[in-house]
Amino acid sequence: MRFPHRRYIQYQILIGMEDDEIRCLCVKDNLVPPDSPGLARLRFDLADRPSPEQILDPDQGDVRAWLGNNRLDGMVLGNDYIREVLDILRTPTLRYPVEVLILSDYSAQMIREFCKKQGLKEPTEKAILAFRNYFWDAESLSFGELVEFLHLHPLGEMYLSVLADKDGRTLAVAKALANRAGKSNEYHYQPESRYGPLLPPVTVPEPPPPQ
Amino acid sequence: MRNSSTATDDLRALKPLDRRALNPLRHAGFSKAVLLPGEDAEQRAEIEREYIEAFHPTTRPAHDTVLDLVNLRWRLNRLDKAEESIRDSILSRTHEWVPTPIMDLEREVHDEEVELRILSRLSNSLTELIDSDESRTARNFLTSHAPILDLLLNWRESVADIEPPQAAQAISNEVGRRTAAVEATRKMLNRLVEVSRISIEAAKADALLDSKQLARIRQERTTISRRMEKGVKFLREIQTMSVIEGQFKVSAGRSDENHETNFSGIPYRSPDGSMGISEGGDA
Repeated sequence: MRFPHRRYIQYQILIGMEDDEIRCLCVKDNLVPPDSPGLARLRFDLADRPSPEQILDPDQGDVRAWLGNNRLDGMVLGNDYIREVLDILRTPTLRYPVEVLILSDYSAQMIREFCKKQGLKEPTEKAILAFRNYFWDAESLSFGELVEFLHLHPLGEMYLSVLADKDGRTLAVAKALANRAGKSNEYHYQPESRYGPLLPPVTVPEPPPPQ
Repeated sequence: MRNSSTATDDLRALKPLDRRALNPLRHAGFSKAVLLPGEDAEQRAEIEREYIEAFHPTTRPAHDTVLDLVNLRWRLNRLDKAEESIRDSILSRTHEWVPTPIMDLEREVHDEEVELRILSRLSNSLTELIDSDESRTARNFLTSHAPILDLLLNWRESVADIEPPQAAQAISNEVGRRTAAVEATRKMLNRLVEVSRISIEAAKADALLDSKQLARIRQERTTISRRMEKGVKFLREIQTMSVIEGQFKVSAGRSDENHETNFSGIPYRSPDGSMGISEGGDA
């Protein structure tokens, strides 16, 4: 199975994480943990990867070029916007609306404007693009793969309803997700919950009847 | 004199056997009866119709063989149901036997141990880099591992903002603190396991019985499948046989061989009413 957070998993493989460690870290970040065949395939795809020691000195050899070609340079080299990306990931009131908007093909600028209007912390456009690259690359999945993945996602049902009616549902769902648990940017981890901070249920207003 | 807790423990230990005895599906899986109480006669008749349509038996031996095949197919269905029932109950009984707090704590300890393993490894690598005076590499190490370290440490500031020697020291302290915490939790878990030892042993025994039962089902399924294969082969051959001097002989493709006239230990009569040749016999 393919995942929209494929590159984050690839990053973890690159820095030398074992399979059970990757799964544990994914769960801690409220990401769907990859299964063993999925991980084996990702490792196979990265067969020519530099070693964890080589990435500590990216100017040697072709390491930097390899990272760039695989679109993994930002996280390994610690670019400034990565901190913002992780803020999006670990702030539920920001992450889920951003995911919904990306799913409905909103541009980074439109997402930024949405966050501003909702009183959320405004991520830069670069951070939104990098968030999509590492954690929500839904475009790289076929529709069938995306639907399969959304069945495992804690808010998958809601996202599927957005996919079914992008024009009518996107903004309503994104607003409801942005406003459901205050505006706290703090990240709370609940070990007893598979997906950590599952927020209270959301009531999304029905779209107005067609004129 | 037996005290009450021992008696209770004995009762608990016996519980899985009682449950098993109450579950007829497991044993019914091996039954050779044509139809058991609760089974769908209409469904069986449907299978029978389908088999007869497929093989068109024109002689009594062929008809009997088809009925045998239906029987075997029905028993395979029974085994499937029995296996499904066993697999479903394994999961539910594990939760029933092993108290939920123990299961939860076990999961929690496991997660903590994995996190601790990651932290220890990263802490050692960072310390090695600092000890070998590779400050630039140590800085790169913190930068490239910050997404993971920040998640696991949950500090107010990112490790990428801390000088490598201070970060190494702080991470090492954190590892020491967490190691003690995980050890304490593991001890608590062990105590809980000890208290619930009888339940856990019962769950283990139960699981063992289940695995034996599943192996028996697999074996039975193989035996039935082989018999079905043999029956189908027999039907194909009997449809192309010819009668020679009161004995029947396979004519299509295997004219030099006599047909095996036993199926399930019963000698079949040839279409002209005489007995077929015995297994392995010459014409």
